Parts: sequence; C-alpha cells; structure tokens
Amino acid sequence: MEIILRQTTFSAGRSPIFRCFRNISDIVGSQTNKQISRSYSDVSGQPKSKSEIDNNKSVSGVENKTMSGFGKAFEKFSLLTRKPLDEPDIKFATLLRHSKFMQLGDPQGKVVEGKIIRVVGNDLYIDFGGKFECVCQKPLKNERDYVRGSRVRLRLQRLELSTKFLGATKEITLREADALLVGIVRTLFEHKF
Amino acid sequence: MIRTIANRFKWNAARYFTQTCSINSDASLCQNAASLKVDQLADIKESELKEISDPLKFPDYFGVRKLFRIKDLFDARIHYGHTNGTLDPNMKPYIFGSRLGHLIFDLDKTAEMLQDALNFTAHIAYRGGIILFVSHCPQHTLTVENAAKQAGEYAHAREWDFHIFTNSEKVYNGVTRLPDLVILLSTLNPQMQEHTAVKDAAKMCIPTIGIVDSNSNPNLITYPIPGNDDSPAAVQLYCNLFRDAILLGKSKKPMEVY
Repeated sequence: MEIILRQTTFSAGRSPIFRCFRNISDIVGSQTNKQISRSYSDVSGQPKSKSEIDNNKSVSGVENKTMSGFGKAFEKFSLLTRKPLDEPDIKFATLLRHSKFMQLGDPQGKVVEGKIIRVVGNDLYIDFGGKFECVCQKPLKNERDYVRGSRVRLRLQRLELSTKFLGATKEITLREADALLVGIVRTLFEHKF
Repeated sequence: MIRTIANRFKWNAARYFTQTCSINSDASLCQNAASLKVDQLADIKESELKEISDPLKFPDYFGVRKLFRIKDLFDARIHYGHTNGTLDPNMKPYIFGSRLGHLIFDLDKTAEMLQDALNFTAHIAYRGGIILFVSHCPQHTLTVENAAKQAGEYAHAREWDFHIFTNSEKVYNGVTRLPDLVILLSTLNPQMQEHTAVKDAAKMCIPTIGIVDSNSNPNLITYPIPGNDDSPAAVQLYCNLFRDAILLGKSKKPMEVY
C-alpha cells in the first residue's frame, strides 16, 4: 500500500499538519506513477470533496441507487487521494481576488492571528501570513504561554516598515512588519497548569 | 519519432559501412550490410532509442513543468513584493499591480520564467555541471545549504569573498574549476546592495538564475525569476524546486557518445 504524505505551508497561525492517505486503488490492482511532487496547498480539501461527492451524485443519471459498503468507501477514498495535479489549475487572478490579503484591505488596525516562530530573549518573532514577520516584546503577564509555536492575536499596524529618508529617492526597508501583541489565542478546552 | 531516429541511423550506418569496406569491394555487399544494421536497430527497445536522442531538442525533456502549480507559488507567498517606494524600474514588467502600496508579482509570468530556469538547471545537472547555490540572507542559510546537500551540489550562503571567481587561482592556490551555473536565492546582500556574485558570474561568463524581488535589478541575471525572496516559505519552495530539478536531471542516463 502506498502512503501519500501531504504537507501544508505556514498559513496565518496554522501549524503544519501532516496527513496520511492510503491509496485504496492499490488493493484493486491499478498502478500509480511515482512523481517528485509536493503539495503546498492549504488545508481546505475536506469540505470540498464532500460537496463534490454530492454534486457527482446529483449530476450523473446513474446514481439513482445509493452506493453502500465497499463501493461507497472506494468512491470516498478515491476522491480524497486524487492528486492535486489532476485538478485544473486555478488562475492567479482568481486566487488573488479571493485571498485573505485582498480581504484585509488597509492593514492598519486589523486583528489577525499569528504564530510565534522564534523567541530571542525578550523578543517574539511572529508570522501572520504576510511577506514579513513582526517582532513584539514578550509581555510580563502569562510569560510561560509565549513559546515557539503558540498562536497569538495581533493588531496590525503596517505590513512592511519602509520609509524614505531625507534626500533619498528610494525608500529603505527594514524587512519587518509592525504589529501590536493583543494576547494568546485561547481555545475552549485548554488546560492551564 | 522513433522512425526518424531509425532513418538517421540508417543513413549513418550506411555511411559507416561504405567507409570501412575497401574501395574495391562490391557496393551491393555494403548495402546489404547497412540494411542488416537497420534490422538490428529495429529490435532495439524504444526506451534505449529515446536515451540516444538529443535532450536539447525537447522543450521540457525532464518534465520540470510538473514540479509546481500556480497555487503552490501562491501558497508559498511568492507573489508578495515590497512597497511602491522600493520598486526598481527594471522590475515593472513583472508586477501585476499594487494593493494599497504593496506590490504584487504576476505569477503567470513568474511561473513561465521559473519553468525556463528549472529546465535549464536540469539540463546543466544532466551534463554533469557544477551548480552553486548562493545566498547572503542569514535567515535562509540553513535552508539553502540543506537543499544543496540533498541535490549533491554546492552552496555559498555566507559572506562573499570578493575574489572567489575573478581571482580564484590565487585564493585557492591552484587551478580551480568554476561553477557552470550559479543559483541566487536572493540577489541582494544584507546591506541592500547587489550581491557581488551577480557581477562576477557575468564577468566569468557563468550563467545565473536569480530570484529577483521588486527592489532588485534583474539586468545582469541570465534567468531572472521575479518573486518574493524574503519569506522563509518562499525560499523553502525555491530550494525544493531547484533540488528536484537537479535530481531529475541527474536521474536520466547521459547519452551515449558514438
């Protein structure tokens, strides 16, 4: 049985999740080609496939009788393990139009979720999905919660710190974003020791 | 396509046999020998014949197009550029537009140029060329060096010695073989000036592939790739793609020289 690994990139505040899928078609006997390809796509596959299954059932005329047992499982898993290269390529303009970056608008004052990627002394380097990461001071309250990998809430000021200095024609960039640390993202069932 | 290769061999084979046969021999004998050779060729497997053909004749011999999709570039934040104020005028053709002062790269153009660059890398690797990964961003040193290690090639992700290319015999105290390709993961050094490797590689006639951000100058680079060079996710993607292209190039058997 072939185990296909999928790896997600650092999206805003999300931890890299590894998913293992088994290729059920191997049992059936069909061969799959091994490709040097990695999927960098986001973790949004699940709800899509379910709706696709529903669409398939409604569109095709044959599916008047509902599948059960092995047939149902095979259909479900074959959609899950369908390689990203088989799906049609989404256009860049569409991706951009529906991206969070466009939805954000003016970054000033917007609250986003980020993830701490580095801690150097009292400084936290937080990645919120933009081009650069921001650097915030570790707050004195709940100091222990601010470790590498924690999800935090930020209030953005600027996506990139770059200004023109006196007499210069070009701006100088600090390669850093500017944001205020609001606090830790707390989930309902979190245990505090 | 196989038929044209066989025809080419037929012509070559006939020529070979007519040359080796003595001047006084029967012409028909030589022709019979040539036809025999062609029949033998017909028995050769299709895969072997493909190996003998010239990879340069194919637009995408190594299949580098399958290594990435536009969504992969998008998710790795390759379309993010710097602000309007830091734009280099030479980068204007590659910019899709600006959103509230922040520039966005046109990923359709980037994808095309990335494909060309990866194809070139694969061809260089196929022919046993030395590939050097260069980067001066301290954040990405580990990523770049790991990628080079996995590809079985070389990396220089530290401070650049000025005479490495131009005065290599003095620096290394002997005759040195310079790289056949330089891949720059960032064309700027930490002082925001153009990396010396760009100029030096051009001086030594070494082709370069470079990731050019909106504040970089792509003029001296052979295969510029307009895109983000600051985000760790972007650099990781580039490193993975170049490593995969090199491994693809090395996986094909080099052609037989006859």
